[in-house]
Amino acid sequence: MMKNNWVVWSVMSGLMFLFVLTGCARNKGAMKPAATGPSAEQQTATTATGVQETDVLTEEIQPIQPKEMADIYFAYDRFDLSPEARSTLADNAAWMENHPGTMVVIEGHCDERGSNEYNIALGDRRAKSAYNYLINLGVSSNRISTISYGEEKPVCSAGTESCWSKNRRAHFRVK
Amino acid sequence: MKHLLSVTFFLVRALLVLAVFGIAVPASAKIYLDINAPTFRRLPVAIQVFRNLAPGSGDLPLGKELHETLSEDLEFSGLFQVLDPVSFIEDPARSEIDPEKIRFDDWRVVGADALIKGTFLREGDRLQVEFYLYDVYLQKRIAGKRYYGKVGNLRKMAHRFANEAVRQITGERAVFDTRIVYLAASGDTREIHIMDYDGHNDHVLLRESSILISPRWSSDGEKIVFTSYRDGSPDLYQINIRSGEVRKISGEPGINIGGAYSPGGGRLAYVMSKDENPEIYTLGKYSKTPKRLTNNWATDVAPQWSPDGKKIVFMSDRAGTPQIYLMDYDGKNPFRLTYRGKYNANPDWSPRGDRIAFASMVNGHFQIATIKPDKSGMVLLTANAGDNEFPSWSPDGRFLCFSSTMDGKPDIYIMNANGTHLRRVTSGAARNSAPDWSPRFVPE
Repeated sequence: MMKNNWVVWSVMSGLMFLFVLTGCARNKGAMKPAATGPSAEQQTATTATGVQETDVLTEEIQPIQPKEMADIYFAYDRFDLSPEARSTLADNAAWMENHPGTMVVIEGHCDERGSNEYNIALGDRRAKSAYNYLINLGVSSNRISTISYGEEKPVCSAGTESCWSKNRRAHFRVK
Repeated sequence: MKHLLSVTFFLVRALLVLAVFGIAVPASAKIYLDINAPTFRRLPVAIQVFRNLAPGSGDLPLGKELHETLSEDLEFSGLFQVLDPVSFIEDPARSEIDPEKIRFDDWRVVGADALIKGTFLREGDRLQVEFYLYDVYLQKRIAGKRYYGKVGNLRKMAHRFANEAVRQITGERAVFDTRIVYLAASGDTREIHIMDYDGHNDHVLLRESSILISPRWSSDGEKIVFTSYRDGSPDLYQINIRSGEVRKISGEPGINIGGAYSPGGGRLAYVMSKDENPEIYTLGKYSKTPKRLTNNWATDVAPQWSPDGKKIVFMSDRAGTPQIYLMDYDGKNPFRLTYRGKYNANPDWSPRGDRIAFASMVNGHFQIATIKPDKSGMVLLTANAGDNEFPSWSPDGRFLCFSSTMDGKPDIYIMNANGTHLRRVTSGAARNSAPDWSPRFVPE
């Protein structure tokens, strides 16, 4: 009896996994990891009733908007990490731990001041600062990579300090 | 006395200057102007309206464009003072080419030391132009050239004769037939453009939807080396100007930027961050292994060569702020060049060797500056409310091109190496930046 239960459980789980995969494939724009843990249990329970499979599918499509990893910010012409940046990086490391299998590209960005080439180099160093810190927090190096965009992709284009400070950032893009 | 004054024509003046400064003047040299002399004054030149050999053919605009191109070149050179044709006495319709028939007195009284005349004839899509340069005081012809080619090459013909006029007067090769490569950005589209030095004949060499950075000429003028994100990350490429073929030079992890060919093209200096932080490397023409020149925790970028290929000027923040440094071609003997200002960027070494141009942050804005390689004699060449960046020398070291926001959006400007004769040479809606002045194309 115990064994039988286990078999049913496995088959159900396998089916659910397929459903989740299909759901993700259909919703190409939101290629986010499937929810794990309690929700999986819940799903199995619902399908066990044999009537609410479509609901599960819809539910899987809708909530796949996990909290994004937050950007970190840098001082002018600097790539060292502020206490705030370190705290955010710890959150981001936790996020990655909760989302195994995700690959993350760390983008280094600069404000528009300074020379383009120097800023490409500075963006590279900012991305690598974040990269090294995440590695030290235990994130696997084959899950993260870096790229510098220098001053080429600002999020804010007014020539003011409040705008520049928003552009001096490392952004964490889930691949 | 009046008679004496009248015979002090410019040749004598120039020779006197040379004699005073004890410079030997070889008998064969026909140098009218010593442009490096402290007493240098611009030579007044009259350029007569060009005569259409097929009057009534409706080709007057061609003559006008020849006249304009030549006038702009000579005026911009800083060597000539181009006289206003309104004051000319000679009737253009009766303009003579033969020095025996020219009334040189008519040119002397309008203040001309030199005189340029010309004729043109269009046949279909072909154009023949003749240019003549005269010495008004000696009343003789110094130079004459005939050009024949497509009508579309009209400006090139005028540029070539402007080069000839400068060569006859100063003994130096001018750069009026050179070009400028630059970046044009509009929306998400990035383009590499090539244009004549004066902004004419502009065309797109490469259009991408990815980021493009720092296009620079190879030393033979046949390729442009640049950085593109076309494969997702900043890799170094070069494009052949004639065939359009693009080849990846360096695609190491991290950044691959700032490619600069040595004079003669034997080596390429560039920046990679594959070994943790951005460092300068050189790659020999027949080598596959880049040689690392810098080795420290600082950011080292933007290498450019000295004209003899023995030194490299670059940008580094090893002392805390971005400053300009020199080192030997093998990375030895690094030497800090700039101390004024908290941000000095984009160095470019004059082909004459005597100065290095760069962008220097003054009160929050980049201005174009030059300094001697022994770190003395820094001068600011611009002082406007915009950002002035990416100075690049003309191959004769007499002019600089750069990009500036002095009129609002970024555009390309040219000026004399002393900051005079400032001219905007691009327009339109695109954001134009990062110019690089070509080497000479036509060996003489």
